[in-house]
Amino acid sequence: MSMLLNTYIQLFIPKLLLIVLVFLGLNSCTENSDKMVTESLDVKQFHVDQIIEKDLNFNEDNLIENVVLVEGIIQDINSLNNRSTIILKGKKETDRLVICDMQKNQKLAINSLNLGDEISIKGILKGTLNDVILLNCIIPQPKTNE
Amino acid sequence: MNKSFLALLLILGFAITQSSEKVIARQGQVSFFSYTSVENIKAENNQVSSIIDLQEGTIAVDMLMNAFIFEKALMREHFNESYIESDIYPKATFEGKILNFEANIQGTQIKIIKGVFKMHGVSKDIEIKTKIENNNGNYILSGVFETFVEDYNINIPPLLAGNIAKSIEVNFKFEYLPYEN
Repeated sequence: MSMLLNTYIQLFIPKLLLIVLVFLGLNSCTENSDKMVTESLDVKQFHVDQIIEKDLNFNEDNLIENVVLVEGIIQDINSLNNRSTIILKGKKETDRLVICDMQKNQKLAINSLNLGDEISIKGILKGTLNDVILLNCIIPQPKTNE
Repeated sequence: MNKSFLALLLILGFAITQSSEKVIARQGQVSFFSYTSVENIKAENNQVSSIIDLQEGTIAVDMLMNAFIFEKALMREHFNESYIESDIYPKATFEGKILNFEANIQGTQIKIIKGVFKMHGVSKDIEIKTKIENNNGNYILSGVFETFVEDYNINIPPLLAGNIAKSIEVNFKFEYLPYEN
């Protein structure tokens, strides 16, 4: 009986470990080293004119490294450095913009956009230089009631 | 009459030159490589900001340290939390001058940029050999230089010392557009 149990353990435990490792490995796969942004995340929302305000203290509001939703007008769409980027502007006249570095799986959504469109983009807020920087961005799709 | 018209053209030309004296790169690319026998580490930042004053030949570069993208999440975590401490020192900056810069020359010129690079709270004088391309006022600056981890007061735990190279290779490329401030 104990021999049967030992054989069972010897066969079963390695297989279980393998399954657990494969599962963990698959779940840790991301597009890059940063956390992924998904549609389902509830986040703080801003208009470009709000988020580029110099008075807004990102650190104080715990916004850095968190996901935010920014609404603005598309000023530019480019693929500089082999990355899709959407640059958003606000309604106020200023040289400060929001630069959104898009996830690779957003190419289809980006193709349907035009300069001047008003859209919302969700991404990880990294901070501010001359412009506000968002990484790993997605364009949330409107929810449909079926 | 002709002389006054010529003078007016000269004034207008001067005014146009004055208004376009600065160029900006909003999506400059900076990447670094660390080569060791244990592992190679590469990271890339595609949102580096830079402004050149074409008349003065001065250049400023500004980058967010937490915007570097790595292959593995653990590398990013170590970089931001243990080495660079990006919550305390969120930005690295460079301010310098392009020596003997001739902004109006079309085509490629190789120049030395001399200035101060500040990272992790440490400022260091550096000189960088840079390729400058001018295609009808669209400037592209690119180059590569080496920097030493110990120069910037970055502490690597002995256990991980073999994973991080003492000398880090830094590549950069900036594409500039007219700056309308």
